[in-house]
Amino acid sequence: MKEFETIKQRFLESLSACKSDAEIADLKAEYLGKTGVLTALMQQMKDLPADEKPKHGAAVNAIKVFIEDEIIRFKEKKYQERLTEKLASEKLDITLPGNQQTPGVRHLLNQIVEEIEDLFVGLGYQVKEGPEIETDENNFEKLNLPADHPARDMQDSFYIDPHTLLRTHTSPVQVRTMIEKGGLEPVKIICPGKVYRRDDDDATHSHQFMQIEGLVVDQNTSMADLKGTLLKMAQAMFGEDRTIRLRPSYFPFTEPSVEVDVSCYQCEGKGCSLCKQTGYIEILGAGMVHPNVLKMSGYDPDKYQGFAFGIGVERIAMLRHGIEDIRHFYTNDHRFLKQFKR
Amino acid sequence: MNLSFQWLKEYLNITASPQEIGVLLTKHAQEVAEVRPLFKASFLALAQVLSVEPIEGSKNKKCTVNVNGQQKTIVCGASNVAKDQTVIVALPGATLPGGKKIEVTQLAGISSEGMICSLSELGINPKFIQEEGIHVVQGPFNAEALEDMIIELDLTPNRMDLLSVLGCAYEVGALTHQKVKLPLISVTESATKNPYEIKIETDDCHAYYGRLIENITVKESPEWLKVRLMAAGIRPINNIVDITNYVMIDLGQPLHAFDHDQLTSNIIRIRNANAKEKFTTLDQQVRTLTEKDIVITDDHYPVALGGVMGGLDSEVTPDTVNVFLESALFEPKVISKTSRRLDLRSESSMRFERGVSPDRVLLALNKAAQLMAELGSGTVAKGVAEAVKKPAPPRQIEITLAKINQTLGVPLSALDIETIFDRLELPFKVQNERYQVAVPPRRIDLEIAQDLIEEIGRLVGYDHLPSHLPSTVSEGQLSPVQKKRRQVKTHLEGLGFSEVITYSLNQEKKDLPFIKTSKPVSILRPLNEANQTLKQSLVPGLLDVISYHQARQIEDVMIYEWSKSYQTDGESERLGLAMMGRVNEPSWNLTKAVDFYQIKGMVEHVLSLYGVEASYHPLDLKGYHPHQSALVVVSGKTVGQMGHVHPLVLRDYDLENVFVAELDVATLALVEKTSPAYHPVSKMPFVKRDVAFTVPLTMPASDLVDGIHQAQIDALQNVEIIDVYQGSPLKENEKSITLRVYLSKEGHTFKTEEIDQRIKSLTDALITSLKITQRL
Ligand SMILES: [Zn+2]
Repeated sequence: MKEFETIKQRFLESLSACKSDAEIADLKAEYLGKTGVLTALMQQMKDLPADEKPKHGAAVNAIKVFIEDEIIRFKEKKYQERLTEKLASEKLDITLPGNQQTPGVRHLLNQIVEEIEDLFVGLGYQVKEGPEIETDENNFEKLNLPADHPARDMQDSFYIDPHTLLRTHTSPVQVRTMIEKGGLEPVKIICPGKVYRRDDDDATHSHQFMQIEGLVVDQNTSMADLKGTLLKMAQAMFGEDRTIRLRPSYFPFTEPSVEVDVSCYQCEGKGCSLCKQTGYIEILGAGMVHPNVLKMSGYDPDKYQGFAFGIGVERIAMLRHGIEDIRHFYTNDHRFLKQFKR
Repeated sequence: MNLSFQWLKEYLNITASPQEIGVLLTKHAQEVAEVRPLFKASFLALAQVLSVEPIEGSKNKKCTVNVNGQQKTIVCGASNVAKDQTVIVALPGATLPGGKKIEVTQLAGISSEGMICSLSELGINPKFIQEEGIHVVQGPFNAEALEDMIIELDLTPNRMDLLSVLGCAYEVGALTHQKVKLPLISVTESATKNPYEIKIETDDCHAYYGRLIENITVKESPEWLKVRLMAAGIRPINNIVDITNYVMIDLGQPLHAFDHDQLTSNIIRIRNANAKEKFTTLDQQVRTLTEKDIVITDDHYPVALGGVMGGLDSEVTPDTVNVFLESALFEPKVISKTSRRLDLRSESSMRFERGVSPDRVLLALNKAAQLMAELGSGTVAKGVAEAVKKPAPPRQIEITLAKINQTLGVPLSALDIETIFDRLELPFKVQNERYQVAVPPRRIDLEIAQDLIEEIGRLVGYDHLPSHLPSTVSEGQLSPVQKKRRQVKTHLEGLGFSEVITYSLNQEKKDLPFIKTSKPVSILRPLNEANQTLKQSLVPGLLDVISYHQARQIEDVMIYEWSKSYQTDGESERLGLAMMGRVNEPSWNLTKAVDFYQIKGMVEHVLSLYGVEASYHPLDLKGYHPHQSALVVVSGKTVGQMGHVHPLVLRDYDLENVFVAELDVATLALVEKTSPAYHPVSKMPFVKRDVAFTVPLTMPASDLVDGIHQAQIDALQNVEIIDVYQGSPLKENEKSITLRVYLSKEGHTFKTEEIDQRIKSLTDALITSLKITQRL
């Protein structure tokens, strides 16, 4: 069967010389076509003795399979060679920047609001909102601040008419919620939002700022509950290792009232310039809801008691990030805002 | 309140340091802002000047002084240094305020062993200093006072009881477990009878006491008194005025001294002022009074504005010889109103408006009268002229042990409570763990049971409370509106927008181009012109932010604000978007300038988050480009507007090509949405065909889309606008619009003829209804 080997050999040589799919097709026809080499071989069969015919036929068929396989293999090889060349020609400078749509950022103040909302939602609180244009009654009177109360001096406000003003805190939302509940069921809410005070803007004062207040009213809500809640918030805001300190203070709507300090995260309480050498930083005001406030919003102070707290969002942001001027929050410089990516 | 530590020690035996007392006060009472020395220097001593010799060729003098029995030589440049003076010297080793160090130095060949000091060199506020040159100590003075410390308390409005040294002594006594030592005050009276008669004719004065002090000499106060006043932050003036201030700081009771000889009668009548009554206060201002003010009259003329300020005519002067001294109790609210209206806030008015202790009114009068006689070399006339309304009985507050523990959340014993009441010197009765506390007059801030709980809580110390979470069980979650707000914000940030927060107050005129009807909410007393009304549109605030960036060469800006807008008929939540420059970050191979369709795409994105689709209609608002703006309408309701900001408006902001949208998200959240029913995903292939039409330039593309839908073609699934073309070979007033039509029908495979037939009826319908031509 030396002749068969020679055919194979000759075919492989021709195949490797092929430059295009058309040449391969021609070569294929030359061997496998009706007048091709293999047809001629098959025709030789009729001259062979009967016992050799099957062997001859099988051998011719084997060459046919061989040629078909070789063509497929050769085509694949050529395809891959061309592809490699093409890919090489498509070489890009991978250091050039991508065509991205840079995501924008949530305003830092709202990031902090959402963080605190999430913390309290996890603790079973509802997030309540309310109008910014409020009645004097909801903003002051129902919070135990009658018209001639000296503490009203502490929060000079933007009045719209003698009975209406821009709310000076989000406490009126607490009043509204308590009235809504009709004095009959527990309250557990936080109230975030914009508030306004008649202050000239400077590095530490802003006539508009954001506040989050919290309120829990139930039959046994105690000051120890308040302390635990504030500790949790302080740790969420300033780190797991923080402790808090409650100091006596005064707010007309709470009694007892406290000012709350967090242990200084910069010096770990040893004393530094941030904490004015005291080891503590004041972060919020809180207290047990004044019985007059409960009464005016429909809760019987002999049956219900509760705590409330209020925190300034700007203050938290400034402390946490070392921001030196409250006006940055309202200037909205991209170069400022984009530093606080989540 | 600036509390002198040495003054405090007159009432208590304190072993703790001022700093330790400061920490205790902060923890248990009121915040201490600072504990600082009165004289900001160490190594100070009193010295007697033995001799003063001139030094040739110098204005300096060689002084020999006696410091605690030792003779020292000090070179001094002050012109007022003189033999026999008592002076304050800083000895070698001292550091003065500002860092100046005192050492033995050689001056003109003389060894100078210290420095004779002026008050300003010792860090005393210049407003307290009347003299020039070195300070000469007048009269008896204890050198210990050079080391006095000031505890500066930040007082909250309820703790008026701490506006006196005695009040602070009660507090510090409670914190250090001590009882206050009350000094005995006895007045040595002369034979002359006090001629005064007091008549109270107003409800706003509750008690009035007066004494006559005769034959006094008005002069400079002795050193100890001046130093006490400086410690308290009050400027020394003369012995009479200084004594009234001294007693006020000591006991908390403001006093007023009149020149007896300037009063036209011996009847003191206290009444409300007449409307428009004129009165010249001692600051030489003519005041117009109202019926709400209290005046003290000498039966003919007003001589003082009760509790607020004395009159010019009856003021104590250096020539005064006889003094009528007043100590009274006025209605706090009245004093508050008068002092505020006339802008006359003083140490006195502050104490009156917060409420003084009724049991110290007479005490203060006697203490001051006795001091005036002593320091002014005069005599006190016999008797006190007085008119006193029946004082209210002591307030009784009831509280149970159970309520205390339930509120504080800590188990205290009956003994704990009783010990605390004793420490605070609050008299009480107890029965079955129910306490009845009789509130002493000095603590009129204690009104209700919760006030007592605070006293107990702070004395126990809040550090000793346990920490736990409320036991109230409740469901915590954001409302659907709050969740949607967060979702939309997150999407907008993904699209490249950053959130901004701008001020709610601005000027109505900035809103006008962007609103249909102006109904501004105005502030009664705005801080300035730019903050007069609440914003009615979010667009001006966004333009301000964009303008800020443009001015700083930041030209690609995409921002949003989620805020309320406010009008007289209410406030509602809005979303504002603004875009300028390129959509994506500056890129080397791809830039797309913002245009109308970009902002419209953003609006469509937001609307899709609310599950709604809008129709867009021409917008008639001055602030927008007349042909690149749209009113956004959903289910027949206007939910916003969007478009290219009008160049004339942008000119005011120094801007060009800014695109904005303002959506009424409050209304969007309320739009009724039917949740779509489930349809199995079709297994049938789509057939896509593109058809182009030549249409007039002004024809909206939506007419073609609407026309196709109206033609009700069988198996039509969707129509898209895939190309809009203007230019050759079309005429100038024409454009070409290419639509892509999707056909599909469940269980049916289309033959080519069936498709052709449907496309033909579709094109025929459009050609007929819109009078346009197909473009082949
Ligand atoms: Zn620190």
